[in-house]
Amino acid sequence: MELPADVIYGDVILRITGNHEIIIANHKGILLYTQEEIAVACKKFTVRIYGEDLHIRYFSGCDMKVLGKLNRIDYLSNGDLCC
Amino acid sequence: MLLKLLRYVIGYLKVEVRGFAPERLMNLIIENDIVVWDVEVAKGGYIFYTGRKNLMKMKPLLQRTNVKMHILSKHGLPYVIKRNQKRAFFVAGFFACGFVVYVLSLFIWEVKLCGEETLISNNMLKEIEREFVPLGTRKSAIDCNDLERRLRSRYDEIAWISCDIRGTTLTISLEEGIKPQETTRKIKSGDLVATKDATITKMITREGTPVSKVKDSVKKGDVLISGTIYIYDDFNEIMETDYLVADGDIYGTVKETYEDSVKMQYYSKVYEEHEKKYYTFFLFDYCFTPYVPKSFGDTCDSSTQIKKAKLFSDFYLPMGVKKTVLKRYRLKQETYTRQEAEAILKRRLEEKIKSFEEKGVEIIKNNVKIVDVKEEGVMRATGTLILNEKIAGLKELNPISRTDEER
Repeated sequence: MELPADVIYGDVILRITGNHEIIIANHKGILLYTQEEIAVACKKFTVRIYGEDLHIRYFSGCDMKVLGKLNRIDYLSNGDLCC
Repeated sequence: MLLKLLRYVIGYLKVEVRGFAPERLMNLIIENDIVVWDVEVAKGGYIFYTGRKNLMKMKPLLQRTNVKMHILSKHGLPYVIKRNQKRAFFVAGFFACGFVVYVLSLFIWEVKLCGEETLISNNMLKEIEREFVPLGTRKSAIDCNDLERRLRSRYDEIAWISCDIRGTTLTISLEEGIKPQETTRKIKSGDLVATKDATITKMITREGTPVSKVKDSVKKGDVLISGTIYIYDDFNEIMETDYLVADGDIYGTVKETYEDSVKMQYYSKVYEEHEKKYYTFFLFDYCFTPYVPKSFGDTCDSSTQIKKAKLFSDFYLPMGVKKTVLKRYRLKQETYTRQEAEAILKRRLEEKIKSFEEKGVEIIKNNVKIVDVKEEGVMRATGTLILNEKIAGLKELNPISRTDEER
């Protein structure tokens, strides 16, 4: 039986629409939130979103929606937040 | 949209959190399944919206993270109710007013008539309000198709009619046609007789036996086309008599006497500038006049203007105001000049001729002359009009005379 990776490994799912909207599912919490930068903790790594005028439209235990002008998305290993 | 409505009903707050590591608070909020939305970054913290009941759930989290929370604004129905508790009667009145308007909207409070002038001037509107749709009739009790049918059978002149209910207004649109002639189908047999003394100019017989011919002079009541048909045998004796409704067009010249007069001296009303006004308020059939001015007596004209209250263009209410204006006048004796009196008489004669022409009557000769009778103080128009018109009318055959004849 083939199960999706997010179910088996608890991987994060990022759904990006253009450069103005991103939906992050399977996250583990917010590490940093400013208008230029949002860091979201995931199971294996940290997703770091850079942009302008970023704001969280909604968030819950399983997903969150970020709006704003997205410039860059980085994947960092856990513990590398400060670099 | 539904979500917004739900949030409004339940009530929500805009809060600001500040302190050391507000991100930690946000993560705890996620862990505790507390819904927040529209999270914005503020100086040293965040601003977000959350539900009214979530505030209590957040309290222990705030203590744990040492973050301070400020309520910026409160939104939603529970807060509106709380704010307006002192105005409970106002709110109750508002809803009561809405209920009354709803109840009033179930009835007809205005009937409008659009169409030709003749029927409307014949008080059709009043008859409709009296017999068919009295003001205050329930809208559900009115069947527009049935009303159209009833009105059409009541007024023969109606060529086309449409009834429409909008708001509390019943609009009847109609087109007037020519009133159909009385049906002759009920009459089993009849003669066409002369309705006036005349000389026949044209005669078309469709059914029956012609008794008169063109150029005959006939008197009122003379039979022109008989409805009796005799069938002869070979020996020229009446074998059978048949009765039917005589039919045909018979035109004849008729002498019509015309007489009209205008008194040279007449009274005209000279209105004074001073006028009195008063207002009457009405609700259903109840009227209330706060102030009635002293009457001018008999020498005054009064005009009343009724203004019904309405919410929208077709949403009339059974209340309003009547404005009555009393205008005083005095009678002044005046005299027509010869030219004025002549003009009046000529105008009336022209109107008479026009009414003949509308009926399809041809005017062959006009001998009317205008005479000034100074002794009597009148201007008189007298003379004769020679007309060419239909002179036949149906007269039912008397059953007794029929049986006598048969014998």
